Amino acid sequence: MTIKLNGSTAGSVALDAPASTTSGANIEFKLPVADGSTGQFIKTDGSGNLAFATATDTNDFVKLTNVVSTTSVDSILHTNLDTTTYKAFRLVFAALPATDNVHLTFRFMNGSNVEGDSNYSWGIMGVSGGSSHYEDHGVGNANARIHNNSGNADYEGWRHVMDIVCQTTNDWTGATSFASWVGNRVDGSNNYRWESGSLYYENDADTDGFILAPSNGQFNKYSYTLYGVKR
Amino acid sequence: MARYKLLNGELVAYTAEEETARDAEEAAAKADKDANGYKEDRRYFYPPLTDFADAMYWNSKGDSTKLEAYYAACEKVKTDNPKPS
Repeated sequence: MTIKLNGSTAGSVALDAPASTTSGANIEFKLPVADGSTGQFIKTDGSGNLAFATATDTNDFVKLTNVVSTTSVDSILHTNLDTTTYKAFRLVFAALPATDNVHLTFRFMNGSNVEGDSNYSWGIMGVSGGSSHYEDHGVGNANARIHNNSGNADYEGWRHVMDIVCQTTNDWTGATSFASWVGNRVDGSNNYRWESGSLYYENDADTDGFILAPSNGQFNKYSYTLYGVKR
Repeated sequence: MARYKLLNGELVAYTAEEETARDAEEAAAKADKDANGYKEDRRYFYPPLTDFADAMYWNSKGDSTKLEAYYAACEKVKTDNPKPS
């Protein structure tokens, strides 16, 4: 059976019933009581009642925030991240310090509290502009160093892609919060340095955020995007 | 000068307690840099160890030219990045 509506000028639109339904049931649909929003679809409640609804995001890699700013700040924090939904966070980051030749540091957050116990272990491998290699590391530090010296001129600064994993109650004891990154920097004499590294926070504590700060002074410019990677 | 943080994308002033903590962090970082920064700076400019290996090889053959040049390059790095007195 078909209900067919003819267009006023040409063509038509038809609603067709299938030749037969499952088990010969009499199916009845009730249309929504109001229009939905842009991009919504019609769903059923299983009892024939139709309603408009927003599609569930099924992407495993989700953009959480994007920031581009020249407002000077002493630190950049993200707190109360959804560690129930997200197993890891990817930070694509670039920043320019106000003070010449300072390090970039990282710590985890737990709510509004900075995890500042001297339990950060970290390591950086680097290549200088020539053919020299270098390494830096720390054990039991109050923060982790992400990059060595950056200059404060426009063409200098730090830039990296960093994966951050917060320990939660879902993890086994001692899984620890950790992070890894690959990036580069240009120091105060315009020397290019490639650097990669890893850190972990040797505390059996849940974390749900992080703080980045220059070892001295402020960030003058920064641009970053934070993504969540679902469990 | 008041300090600010970017907290979840919003500009927020430091509390007095946070200001004190940040002051202490910066002081510690500066003290460490003043005492040890020359070591970090020197590492980036020392000639590669592969150059040293090559210089040692030629030195064993009786040609000390490369080894002397390597030592001179190291000396320059130390002079350019002096240890604080």
